[in-house]
Parts: sequence; C-alpha cells; structure tokens
Amino acid sequence: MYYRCTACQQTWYYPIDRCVFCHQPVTRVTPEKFTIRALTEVQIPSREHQKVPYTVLLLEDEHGQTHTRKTFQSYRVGETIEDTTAAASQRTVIATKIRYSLDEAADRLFRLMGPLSIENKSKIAILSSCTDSDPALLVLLVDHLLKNGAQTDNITIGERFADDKAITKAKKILAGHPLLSELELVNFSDEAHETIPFRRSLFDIPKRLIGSDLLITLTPLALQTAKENALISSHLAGVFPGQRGSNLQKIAELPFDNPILPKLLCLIDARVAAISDDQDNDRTQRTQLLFLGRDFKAMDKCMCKLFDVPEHTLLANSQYQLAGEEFDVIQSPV
Amino acid sequence: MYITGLSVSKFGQTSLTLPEMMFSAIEGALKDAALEIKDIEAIYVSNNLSASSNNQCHLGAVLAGYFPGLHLPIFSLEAACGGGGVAVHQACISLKHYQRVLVVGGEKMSVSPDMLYFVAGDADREFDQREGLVFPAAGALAASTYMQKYGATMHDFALVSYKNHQNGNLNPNAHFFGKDVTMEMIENSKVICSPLRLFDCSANTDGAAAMVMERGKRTHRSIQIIGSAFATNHINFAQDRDPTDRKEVQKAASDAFRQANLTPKDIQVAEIHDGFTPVELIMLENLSFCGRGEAVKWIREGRTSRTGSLPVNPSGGLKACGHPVGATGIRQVAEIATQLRGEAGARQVANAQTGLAYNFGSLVGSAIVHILRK
Ligand SMILES: [Zn+2]
Repeated sequence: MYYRCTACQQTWYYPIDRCVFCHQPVTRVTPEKFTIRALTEVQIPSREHQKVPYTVLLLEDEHGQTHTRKTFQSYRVGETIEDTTAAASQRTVIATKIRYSLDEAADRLFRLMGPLSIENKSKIAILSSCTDSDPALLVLLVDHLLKNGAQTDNITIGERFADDKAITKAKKILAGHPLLSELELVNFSDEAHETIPFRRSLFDIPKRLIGSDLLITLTPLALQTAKENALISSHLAGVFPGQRGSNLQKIAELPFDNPILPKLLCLIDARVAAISDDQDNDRTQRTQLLFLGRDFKAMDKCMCKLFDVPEHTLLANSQYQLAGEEFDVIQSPV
Repeated sequence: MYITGLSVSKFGQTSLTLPEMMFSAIEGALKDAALEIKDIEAIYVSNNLSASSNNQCHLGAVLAGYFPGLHLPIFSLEAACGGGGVAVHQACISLKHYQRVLVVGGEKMSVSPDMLYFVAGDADREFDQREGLVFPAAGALAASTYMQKYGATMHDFALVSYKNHQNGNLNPNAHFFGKDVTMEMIENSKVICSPLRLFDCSANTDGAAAMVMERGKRTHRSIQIIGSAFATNHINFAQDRDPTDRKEVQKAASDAFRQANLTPKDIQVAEIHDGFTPVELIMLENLSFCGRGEAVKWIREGRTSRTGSLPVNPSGGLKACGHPVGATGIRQVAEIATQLRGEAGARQVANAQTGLAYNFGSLVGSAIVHILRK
C-alpha cells in the first residue's frame, strides 16, 4: 500500500495524511497485481535471514510502482503474482506483516479473508480486552465491520477479563474513541448462562451469545507449554467460565460447525508474542505479524509451528493452511 | 576551498581500534599538510557502523580524547556508504566560517561476523531489510535490470572487476594490493546473490582516511575543490521504479558540474562508487559521462582503464581497495587529489588536471559529487 496525492499525483510509501506540496489529502493505493521485473537468489545467510537460498523479487504493480518482496518460492522474470487470495477454507490462517502502518496490515488481512457476509441485523460480539490488547486494532476491526454493513447497535464488546479493574479500564478506553463509545460493553462471565447439551457434554454459554451471528476474538499472542497452550483457552476466555482442564478438552473437541458458538473469527496480534516453554522460561518475541482465521485450533496449530513451540495434545488432529505467504514471507523471527 | 593534506590508511584487517585508525589518519593528514592539530578549527567525522556493531556512538567526543584541552567542535556525520562524501561536502560548506578544518572517516569491519546484517541497516528497515534485501541483493536487482535494459553481460561486470583489481594491485593502500586477480578467478568465483558473484562485490575491510581542507591555497600541492554537491532520495530501494535511473545522482552531478563550470568531457580522472561492479557502469551513465546503456561499450573498449580516455577508479575503487564504509568517500576524494598532485606512483594517470569523485550512500539515498582541479 502507498499514498498518492489527489492533486499532484506525488507518491509516498510511508503513511501520510496530506501532500506536503499542495496540502491536499492523499488516497491510499492498494495494489493487488504484480509483475516480476527482476529477481535475485540470495545465497548468503545474515542474522535476520538465516535460511538460504531465498529470493528477493523486484515487482511492478498494476499502477507502475515497484516493490521488493522476499519469497522461498521459485519464480521467473515476467511472471505475475496476485495478492487477492481469499480465505479458501475454515482452516486457512491469514498472516500479514506490519510494515509502517497497522491500518495497512489490518486492511490486507480483511481483504484476504474476503467478505464476512454481514447484514445490517447481524449480531456481532467482539471478545477482547483493553488490558492486554491494542485498542487501535479494535478500532480498525470495528471500522471494518461498520464499513461492511454492521450496525453500531448490534456490536457488543465482551471484556475477556472478568475483574472490575479490567472493566473500568475498558469502559474508559471505549468512551475515549468516537467509533467505540457507542458500543455496548459486557462482561460475559457475569451474564446469565444457559446450559446447552451437545454430544453428551453440557456447555454453559452466556445467553447473550445465543443467537449471535459472529463472535470475533481479539487476542495478543501468548504461547505456553505443550501441557497447556494458552491460546486454546485465551481465545474463548470470558465466554466459558472455568475453561481449563476437562472444559478445555470439551471446547477443543467442538467441531467447526457447532450449535454452541456463533461463527468464529480470530484476530491475533503477534507484535509482542509471549512464549514460555516447559521449564517456565519466558521469552518475548517481537514480530511484525497479525493473523486472522476462522478456526482457533487451526490458528493455534499454526502459531505453535511458526514460533517453534510444542503443540497442545488437543491440537493433534487440527490442520491449517497459511495464506498470504506467497507474497509476504512469514518467518519467525521476522 | 583546497585540500592541503591527506592520508589514507592501509586498508585491510588491522589490530588497531576505530579511534586509533582515525587518529592515525588525522596525524598523517596533518603531517602531509605540515600543520599541527592546534591549527585546525573543526573536525568532521564520518562513520557508519560503530554504533550498531560496537555500541560506540558519540565519535566526536571519542576523538576529542586524543586532543586534550583543545575543545574543538567535532561533528559526527553518517550517511551509510556516503558518509565520507557528506563529511567532505559539509567541510566545504564550513570553510565559509572556518579557515582550516579536518575531515576523517573510518570503519572497523573486522569487529563482528555480523557485518552483512549491520550494513543492511543502511537500507529501509521494513521495505528492504525485512524483505531480505541485503546489500549484494540490491546490487543484484540493479544488475539484472541493467542487463535486461541494455544487454550487459556478466562478462562486462567481470571486466569492471578485472580493471579495478589491476589498478588496486598497484595501490599499496588497497586491500587487494599485491594480489593478482585474474579474469578466471573473477568469472569462477561463487555466486553471492544471482547474478552477482563474489568478485562483483566490494570487500568489507578496516580503514580510515583524513584530509586537511583550507579556505585558501597554501602550497603547490594544494588541490582546489571547485564543485561539491550532495543530493538525497528516499531510502527504500524500489520506490523509484528503475534502480538504474538515479535521480539523486543526476542532481548531485549537475549541481557539481554547474558549480565547477565544467562538463563531463572536461574530467580526466574519476573515482566512481563501485560497491558492486554493475554500479560503476550505471553511475558512469547517471553522472552523464555517457548516454544510457553506453557504459557497456566503454568498459568493453577499455575507455575507463588507467590509460583510457577516462580512467575510472585508478585506486582500484571499492572493489580492490575494499570498502570501509565511513572512510570510502574521503578516500575517493583523497585519491583524486593524489592523482592531480601527480603523487599516485605506479597507478598515476597521465596529465590529469581535473578529476571527479562520486560517493553513494546505500544503493539509493545519498549521492555526493566532488570536482577537483590541480
Ligand atoms: Zn500534491
């Protein structure tokens, strides 16, 4: 993505609001079709690019602007690449790098995901936390939903953490942003739950979620040991009370299409990934990555693979396909 | 503006530290100018990698430690591979204020095995570095584009390498001095970033260079700077569509020629930033020495050899001298001054009265052109 002045057509690759010459607003240009003008196969490893050989492409987009991209796939000069892959299946995990703009990265994620089939009556719950998540990403998500036909009245924000402190903080943050201030904030754990039987198990689910059309989880990336991968529980923390132990097992065994939960969409912010191993050694890995997918188990499996963390036994049968990578090499560390 | 003293260290791995190398170059330049440090009013320091590779910033104050009690203004400048050229340019500007200044540049590249990563820091963090565009890869994309557009071949690039190694073999300060590099060695060297081979790339090396610059002419060895221009461009490699069409280079060259009231035809010797062999050809064209695509013919016909119509890189260039990043731009200007003084020894170019030094920061971004007269 880059920025072009509506008056003088000058182009910027760094995010900018107004042309520095004629002070007119700029438009964002999102190229989708690229022709390979030149390429080089790099044989020498360096600290951030240890796996060789890899290829760097010099690409020209449909508007004549050029870009460089790393890839592990083999291409020829003159070939074209399209960056319009919509999520092919429920197991698709879309990944994108954040370059200079979070907007840009979120934009690409949503574009690659394809239409969300939102109608103006669609009830949408967003499970997030202002305590550990970047409100800027929540704003971008809500903006995307509203642009795709969702109504403010039908969007509910669920605070993932049940404590009063988290709720107070969330209220303050939502009130401070025009796009969020009208949204209803709830604490699903406090809400009345209804017990729904499914495959010989009973699930307590907040009444408010029953009949919702879409549940979106927004979480920072936190990977823990093979014994208990935090992701499985963190996606849905706040929906199911006491989601550890056997409850966790129950949730993980839910098929993708189930009558318990609304359709899911998981947005993972991996900019600061918290990773712990079996010996409780914690590390923080800074990446420039965002992930979006429909199946939280597929996403968890993908995270474990990318961040080299042993996966939870409950993920053994899960599968995933990583999308967006043809055009944006996702590597860890990035 | 005149260059009245200069000193270039022996390029190659050394046990000296960066400050020691720089101090030694300063002492050499002062001796060459027959001056004392107390005669100097300000110093301009160029370095690129000390902060990232050795966690030593604030080099002005580091150097001040060698001159206790003087409290000289010492300015640090950084512009990737173009820092040396920028330091000379800034020193030129400063001579409206000072009578006599010193420029020094140095780089200690044998300090870390991670130099490819640190040097990559001279390119854009997101658009280039994270896309794996290490410097030879950027050179390779420029090479590929140039080959497609103008029919240049790897053999043409090998001719550039061979010419510069022939010259460097005569330059006692060059990294490759005394090393007989053959066409066979060049063309059989391993591919680093296709299509570029090892011998298409300049070598990391340790080195320092310094010059005394004065407002007035002092001796017959003083060499006049008649053009000094610096132009920048955005840092990301791909934004300009064509890596062989460098607007910042064209701007710096036309500004410098206008100041000197000369045209490219008036130049009799040139040092042209050849971080990668195709870059020497691409820049000959961008500096307007010849038309687009014509540099291929020039190298094939030997016009840029030491005895050709425009000797290019008689020092051996970055290719054979090595490229201690922060020192290179100063070394290039010092080489032209040495040639114009007629003191270049075995690599001396015949009858040169005017010369040009072109220094480049990254493969895009900073272009510095100096034109010198005897
Ligand atoms: Zn404009």
